[in-house]
Amino acid sequence: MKENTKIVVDSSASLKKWWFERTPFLTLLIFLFFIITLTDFLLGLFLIPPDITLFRSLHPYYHHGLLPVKKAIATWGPIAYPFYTNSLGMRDTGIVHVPLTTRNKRILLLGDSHTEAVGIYAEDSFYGILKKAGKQQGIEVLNGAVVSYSPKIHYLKAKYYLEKLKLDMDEIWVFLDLSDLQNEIAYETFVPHDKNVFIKAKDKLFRFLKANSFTVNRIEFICDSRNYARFTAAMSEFDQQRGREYRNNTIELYRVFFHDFNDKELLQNPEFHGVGQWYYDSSFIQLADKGLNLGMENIRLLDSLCRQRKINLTLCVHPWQIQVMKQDTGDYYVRRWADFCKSQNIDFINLFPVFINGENPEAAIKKYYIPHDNHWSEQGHSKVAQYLLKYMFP
Amino acid sequence: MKLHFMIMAAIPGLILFAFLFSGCSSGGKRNTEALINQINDSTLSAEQRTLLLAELGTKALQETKDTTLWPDYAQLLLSAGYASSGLNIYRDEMLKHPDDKELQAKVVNAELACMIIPGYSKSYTPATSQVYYMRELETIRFLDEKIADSPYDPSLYAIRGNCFIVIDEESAGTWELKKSLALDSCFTDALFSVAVMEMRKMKNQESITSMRQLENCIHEKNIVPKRTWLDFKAFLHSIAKTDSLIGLNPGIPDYYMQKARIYAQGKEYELAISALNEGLKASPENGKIYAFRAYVNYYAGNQPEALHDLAQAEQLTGKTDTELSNLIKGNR
Repeated sequence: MKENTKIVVDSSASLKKWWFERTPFLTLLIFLFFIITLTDFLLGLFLIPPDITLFRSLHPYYHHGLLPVKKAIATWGPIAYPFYTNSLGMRDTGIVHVPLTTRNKRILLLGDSHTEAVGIYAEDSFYGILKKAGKQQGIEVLNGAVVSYSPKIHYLKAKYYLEKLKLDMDEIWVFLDLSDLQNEIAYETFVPHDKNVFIKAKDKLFRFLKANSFTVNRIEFICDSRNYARFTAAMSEFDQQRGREYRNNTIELYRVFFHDFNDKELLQNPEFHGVGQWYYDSSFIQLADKGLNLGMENIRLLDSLCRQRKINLTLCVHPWQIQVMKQDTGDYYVRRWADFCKSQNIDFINLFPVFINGENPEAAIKKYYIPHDNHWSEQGHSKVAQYLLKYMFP
Repeated sequence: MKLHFMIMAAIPGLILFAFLFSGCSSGGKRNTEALINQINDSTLSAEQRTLLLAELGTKALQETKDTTLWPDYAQLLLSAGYASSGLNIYRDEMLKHPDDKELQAKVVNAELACMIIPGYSKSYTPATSQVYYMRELETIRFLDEKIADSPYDPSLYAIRGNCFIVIDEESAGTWELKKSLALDSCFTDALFSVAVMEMRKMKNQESITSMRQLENCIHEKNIVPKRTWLDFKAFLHSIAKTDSLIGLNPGIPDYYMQKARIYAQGKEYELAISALNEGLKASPENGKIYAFRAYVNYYAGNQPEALHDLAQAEQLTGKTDTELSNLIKGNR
């Protein structure tokens, strides 16, 4: 009897115990996690500077792009400039909401860093000038271009906008240049896939942690620095001046498009990075042609997509400095694209005469290009815009 | 007890980690003035300057209240050769301060650096050098149109080449002269300009070769040589003669003086100064060379350098050259 009473007393005592008293180990683990997380986020609050440059991101369907609705500061070499993205994740003159459907005529520009307009305020870019001119005529011009895009990504992005987002558009203008030869080779193995809910949530969580958790931020910084060092070491023979002691903002962007590229041998070949010379180098002419053929295949796909939806496709080619120096408005690259467009019945605009027109090439480069760079200055963008206006809004 | 210890260890550990790695994230807290001084540091590598400029630009975009940051950034961009970006900022500033004359002068200079013919307001009076530069740019623009119409006329390239050389766009000028000679290998004006350019680059032997080529073309085409060609040939031979004398006796300062005198007579002041600098290397305490360099610097428009050289000359010789002193100081 005595024994029984004791058992009853013991059992009532155990019922009254709190959960944390019953599981002290787990409780302390949770407490530890809570304290560490709190400390980590507090440190993050004070030590992580606001990342005003975070507006680019990888994309599972079209490789990489821009985050929507962002007000940021971009840098290109020594030039810092404001960067805005609209609700569709396109560079814009401000944070703008773009409806998916519209009654107005809508033109989508697709291109690489030239069309994104690196180093230039959006208003001064050829896109900005065309947008302003279009507005007066009730025509909407959107800029879907991003650094290191090439025909494959143009096709995938257009497909994404048309099929996934159901974005209304009447015309697509694609801007191509020599860099596409290399980009197409680098993207050859890229396979697009849909961004499911889990990937979206994972991306959001990672971005949140990177911006707020000191530990995640630092680990990411260290990993990224290592990757950068590995990449610059791979291409160091090509560019011995840069990318060693200091992280160079242009190389940081350049390495993004090698994200899925595994040909280490090619990556370490200095000539591989000098795509501007491929056509003048007998050992690289085959690679140049491969890039060009891949590009044409992807433009063919884009053209077919456009024809299905009665969207007019226009293709423009523009020169690099080396091509301006050669003073040939119809070089091999231009001829190949012109012939391709003729055979496919695609509208073609050659922008070489904008820069090769009797002006001194050295002076033209000084005026229309950013120093030591293949991208246009404000004057270059203005000249391209003036030339395109008569074709876009005849 | 163990967990208690873990908590106690983890928190200081995390704080220590923060201190160790906080340097990676506090780059933005650099003082602006220190940043500008760093950018102006001549020992800085081009890549480092580029990144610091980007940092300053980012600061200027973030700290909109600091109105001095933008013009400073524009000036530094211009100095680094990014004239178009600098000009863009100046033009924005001009919209805020339309009556600022100093800013207007900066806009005009930036436009000229971008090879744009400036469109300044009527209230602004451009400096002589700016007017001079604008005239050359206008001629170049006129020739651009002419060349677009007649792309195979060597004379147009030669004229445009000389315009570029006048405004110190040497590589553009060289391209024009080469183009002119590619169209007509005996185009005398282009050959003469090439010879002058080579002389200015102190490539006297190449210059003499170009002049010989010019002479051959004169005979071949049976044309009357221009007075300037003959004068230049004589000038070039005098320089070559002193060069050979210097080569034989590099320690004699008079030869450097002689060379500098020939250059100065040909109004090639920079080359004259360069010859005198060489002379000072051979004879560092030579008051005569300092006095002559003061004279050349004065005519080259380098007033502070002229005064400095005059003082050095007076100190070394123990005499005052009244005529030279009046010339330099009278124009102060």
